[in-house]
Amino acid sequence: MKAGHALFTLLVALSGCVHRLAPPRIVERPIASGSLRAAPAEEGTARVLIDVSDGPARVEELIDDGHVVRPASAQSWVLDSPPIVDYAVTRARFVCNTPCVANLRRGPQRLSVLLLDHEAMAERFGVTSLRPAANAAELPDSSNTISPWLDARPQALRVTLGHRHDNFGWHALGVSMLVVGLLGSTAGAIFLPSVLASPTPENVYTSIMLNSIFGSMVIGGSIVLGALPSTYQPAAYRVSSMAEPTR
Amino acid sequence: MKRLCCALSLLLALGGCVRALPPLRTPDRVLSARTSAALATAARVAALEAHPEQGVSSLPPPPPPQDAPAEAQTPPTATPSRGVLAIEVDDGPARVERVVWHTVLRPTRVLVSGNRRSGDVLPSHAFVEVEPVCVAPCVARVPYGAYELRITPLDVATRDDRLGPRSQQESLESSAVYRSANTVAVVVNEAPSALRVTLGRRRAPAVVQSAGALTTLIGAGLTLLGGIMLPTGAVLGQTDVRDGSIIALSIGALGTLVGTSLLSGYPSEVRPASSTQWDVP
Repeated sequence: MKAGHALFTLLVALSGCVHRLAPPRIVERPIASGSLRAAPAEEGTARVLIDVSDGPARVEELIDDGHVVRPASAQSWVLDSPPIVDYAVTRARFVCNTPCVANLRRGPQRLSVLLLDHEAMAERFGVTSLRPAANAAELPDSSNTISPWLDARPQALRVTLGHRHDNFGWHALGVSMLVVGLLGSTAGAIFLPSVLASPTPENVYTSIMLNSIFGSMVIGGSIVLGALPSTYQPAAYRVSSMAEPTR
Repeated sequence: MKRLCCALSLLLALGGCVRALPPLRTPDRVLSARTSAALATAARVAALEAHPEQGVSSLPPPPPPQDAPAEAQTPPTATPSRGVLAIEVDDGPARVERVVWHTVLRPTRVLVSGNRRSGDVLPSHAFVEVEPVCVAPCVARVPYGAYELRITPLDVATRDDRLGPRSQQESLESSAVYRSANTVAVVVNEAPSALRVTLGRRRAPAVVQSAGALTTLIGAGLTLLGGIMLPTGAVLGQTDVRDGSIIALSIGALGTLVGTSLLSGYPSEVRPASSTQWDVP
């Protein structure tokens, strides 16, 4: 079990080799805000025109709503004594589909931006977000989450999304190939003198075959690890005040 | 048992990508005569609530008592925070609910382990909180603001056809992508408006995809094993090894073919719902 943990730690460590890119440039483009359907302004909120340069997107307001303690779900837990787990609660409230004019709470905000084009979303943030069992993966990070500060004035919020390319699966495969290949090659090197001492065709063939396979695994694992790095780019945004209320 | 569950979950996760289809055509801006009439009545009531002086113009208010304070002399104006929305669904009568929150619970730590073993993965939970609006076709008074409406057909056959089998509906609802098949965004303000919705469709054939992934994995493994053993048997002149390798290769290739066919032939699909909202004069 400890060996399994060690291998898992190694995999996580290697998958942590992430290329972190600078945020993208924010694209400014004119929007006919007068044609946008909007809800009436509300007391205590900020009136914000939101535009995402990557295309129509769904904007959600995220609120960390403390913690809750409860037994793990019986559906996923086929046990007579389920564990008691502390869960962090995150609530998401639909704000609008961009481009749009929205009423948002004043002060610090945390907004997640999800492209309406699911294929484009999967391309930018990984196909895991398209799988039914991937609720945890749907939780946004800063590649599609922004934290603007909003005041009472009418404002324009322009967003350009980053991207997230997580190659954890490939890294796990690469590390596995590397580990098995290195172990096999080491064993081959240890047994090589005994093979040379009695060079029967069977022994020579088996030795060449196994060393070729393990050598290929070492090379293949190294290529997979080196050629497929995870990349990560945070989203960029700009809040600018507007002269007139957007309505 | 848990290992089996984990393996099945992994296979399900591996099983095929989701095919995101474009939405159907946007519905026309047309309401049925009955809904139009109901909308006109509701809009009139809302207008009277907002501007009560218009509805009682022929009945002037009684003169205020002389000793009344100045601010009480002006009639109170209602400040409605709800707008009028007529809703029609092309797919027949449907339950309409307003999505209030989408909540995700992420495990942070285990307080009491029970008979959990270290290494077991704790899943996150996601669920949607809704409040009922009406059963479409209908005219509803809904709060001002921008939010999503969840549309669920009342007819069981239609519901299963559009939203997948009942056993899967709850789990699919927890995913934003699959939820798009029956949720639409609306913006409600002072102007009475109409909303017409055409439901999308979603499919997640989990059993077929798991079977496909499992068959592909076994097939690929057998192919690899046969590929390695075949030259060994040929070089060493061992006919048993060679024959076994050929059998493994054949079965492996067939399994890979069948598995990949299942995966590509039965993909998960999502077609988002489409809607039209327009102001009604």
